[in-house]
Amino acid sequence: MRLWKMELYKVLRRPVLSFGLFLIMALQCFIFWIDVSGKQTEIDGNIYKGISAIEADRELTEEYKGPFTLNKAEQIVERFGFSGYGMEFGQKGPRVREGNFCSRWVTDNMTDFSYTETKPSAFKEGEVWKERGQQYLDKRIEFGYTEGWEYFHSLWSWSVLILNVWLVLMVMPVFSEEYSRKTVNVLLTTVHGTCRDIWAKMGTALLLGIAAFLVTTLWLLALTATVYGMGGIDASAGMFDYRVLAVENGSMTVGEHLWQTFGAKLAAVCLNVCITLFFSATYKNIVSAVVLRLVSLYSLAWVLNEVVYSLLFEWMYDSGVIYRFWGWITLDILGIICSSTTYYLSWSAVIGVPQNWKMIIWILLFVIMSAAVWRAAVNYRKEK
Amino acid sequence: MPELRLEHISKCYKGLSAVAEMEYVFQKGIYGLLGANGAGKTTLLRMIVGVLQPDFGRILCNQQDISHLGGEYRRMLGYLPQEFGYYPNFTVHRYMRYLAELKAVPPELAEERIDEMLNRVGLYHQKRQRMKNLSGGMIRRVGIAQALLNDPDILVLDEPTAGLDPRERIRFRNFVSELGRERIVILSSHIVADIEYVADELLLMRAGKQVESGSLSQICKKLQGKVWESLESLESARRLNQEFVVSSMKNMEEGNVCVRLLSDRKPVEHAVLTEPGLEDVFLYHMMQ
Repeated sequence: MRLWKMELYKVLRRPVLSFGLFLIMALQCFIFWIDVSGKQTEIDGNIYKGISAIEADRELTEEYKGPFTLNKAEQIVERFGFSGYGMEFGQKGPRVREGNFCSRWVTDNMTDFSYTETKPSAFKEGEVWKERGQQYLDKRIEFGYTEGWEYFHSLWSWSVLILNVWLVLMVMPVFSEEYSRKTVNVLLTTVHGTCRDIWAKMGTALLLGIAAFLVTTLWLLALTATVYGMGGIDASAGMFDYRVLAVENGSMTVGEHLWQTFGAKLAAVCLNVCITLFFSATYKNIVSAVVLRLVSLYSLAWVLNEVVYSLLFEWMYDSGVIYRFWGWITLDILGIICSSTTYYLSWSAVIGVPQNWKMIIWILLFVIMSAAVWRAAVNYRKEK
Repeated sequence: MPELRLEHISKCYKGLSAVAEMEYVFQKGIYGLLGANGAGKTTLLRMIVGVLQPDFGRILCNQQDISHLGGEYRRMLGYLPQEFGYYPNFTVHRYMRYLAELKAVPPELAEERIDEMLNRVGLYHQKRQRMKNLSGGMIRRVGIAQALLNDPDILVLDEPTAGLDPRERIRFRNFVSELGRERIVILSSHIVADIEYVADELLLMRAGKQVESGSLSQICKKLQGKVWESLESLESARRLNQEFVVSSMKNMEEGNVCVRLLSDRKPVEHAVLTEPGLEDVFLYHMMQ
C-alpha cells in the first residue's frame, strides 16, 4: 500500500497538471452558467429568463407528465403553437428560440423543423415524423422534463473528451519519466522494481483516471441537480436520445440511460489510461509519446468511422455487397471496433448499438486493456 | 557470502561487440573494473545487475542463473548506475523512503537505515532538502546511500566518484574499503587512482574484452622491466613522447624534463628501470 501511495504522489506532484482537473471543473461550471443565463421560456404570454425559465418549464412539464400520446401532443400545440426562432432566418442579431420546453420538444421531434428551421404549420408529416414522432407515440414513451439531463449528457461527453486529454498528460510520465530521468536503472534492480512497482504504477494511473472521472461526473451531476433538479429521471431516455427508441424499444428511462452512459464513459477513461500506459512504457521520449498518443487518441477512431466506414458503406450499398454475408459482417466488425474506441465510448456510442454487439464490445475492451497493460509491463522490463 | 560467476558472457549492440566472452569469478572483496571510455564496463555492470540480458553466456550467483533468481538476487544487490537518476521534487528522505520500499527494507527498519546511510555519506542534515537543490556531488552521495540501503551482499558502483571533490573522493574510498570486508564490491572507473587505493582485485577491459586481471601487485609485476625513467632535455623529451608511450613528463630544474615511459627495450642510454604503477599498466594495455 505504501508503494501505491508513493506512486500516487509521483503522479500527483505536478501541480500545473493537477490544476488541470480544477480547470475542467471550472469550465463545466462556466459553460453551465452561460447556458442557464441564456435560457428563455414563454408560457401563456409570460416570458421567463434564466433559472426562472427552468423552474417554469419544470412546472409546466408536470402537467403533461406520463405516457406520451397524440392527444397530449395536440394539446401542447393547441395551447402554445409550434416553436420557431424569434427572428426570421437570415436576419442579423441573436436568434432566440420561442416557446417553452413542451412546445419546443413537440416541434423538434414531430416536425421537420430541425431540417428546415422554418416554423411548421402541422405535424404528422415529414422525415422526422416518420423517424421519431411516430415511434414516440407507438412506443408510448414516458414524457417528463429532461432538458437538464440532455444538457448533462452532452456536457458530460465533452468533459470526458477533455478529461482524456488531461489524463494522457498525467499518465504518460508514469514510465516515460523513469526513462527520461534515468531512474529506471535503479528501479529495475530493486526487489519490487520489476513486478509489484509496475502494477502499483499502473494501478495508481487507473485509480487516478477513475477518480478524476468520478469527481468531474459528480460535480456535473451536482450542478445539474442544483439548476435543473432531479426530476425527469424516470422519463424515457428516448426524449433526448432517440437512438434508444430503436434498440431499447423505448422503455429505457433516463436513469437507466445515465447508468449505461456512465459505464461507457468509465470504459473510455480506463481504455485511454491503459493505452497511454502502453505508450508510456514503449517510447523513451516523453514528448514524442505524448504527441503520438494525443494524435491517435481521437483521430484514428474518427477516420475509421467517418472516412473508412462511410466510404465502405457507400461502396457496399452501391454494389450490393452489403446484402451478402461478408458485406454486412465486415461493416459490423468495423462498427464494433469504432464503438470500442475511446472517442466513441466518450460519446456513449455503445448505447445506440444492437444488443448483441454490446457483449462483444465489452469483451473486446477487456482484451485491449489487458493486452495494453501486459505489453506495457513487458516493454518496461525489457532491456533499455 | 555469495559467489558471482560470469560464464562466457557477451553482448552486442547493432553488430558491435560491447562485451565479449567475459569469464570471471567474484567473491568477497573489492574489484576494480578499469578501462577507457567505451571499453564495455557499464554494459558488463548492467548485465551483472540484471538490467541487461547477455546475448550469450550466463551469470551465476551461488551456482544459480541470476535471471532465474529474480527478486531473490535483487534482494542481495545494491547498484549505483553511471547516470544516476532522481526525482527533482522529491526530498532526499522521500527518495530514500521510496527506494527502501522498493528494496523491501522492512518498514520498521527503513527509517533507521535511511538515517544511518545518510549519516555515512554526510547528508543527514540535508535529508529534508529537495533533490533539485543538491549539488552534483551530493546527488552522487545520495546514489551511494541508496545503493547501500538494503545492506547488499553485492554492491555494484559504476563511476561512483564522478562529480565528487577530492575530499569526498577520499572519504568515499575509505568508506568503500570498509564495505569490501563483508561483501562483493564491484567498482568501475576510468580514474586509476580511485581503484588503485581500494581494489583488492583488478580487471582491465579493452574493447569489451578482459585484458588483465589479478591483484595490484600481480598486475604491476607483469610490467616489470618495461617502465623507464629518464632525465631529458625538453627537445629530447618531445622526441620520446612521439616514439614511446609516455605516462608522465615532469619539469625539473635547469629546464630538464623527467620522462616516465613504457617500453619493452631500453629507450635511451641513460634511462633507468623503475617500479610500475597501475597507471602504467592501464596505459600499457590501452595503447596495445
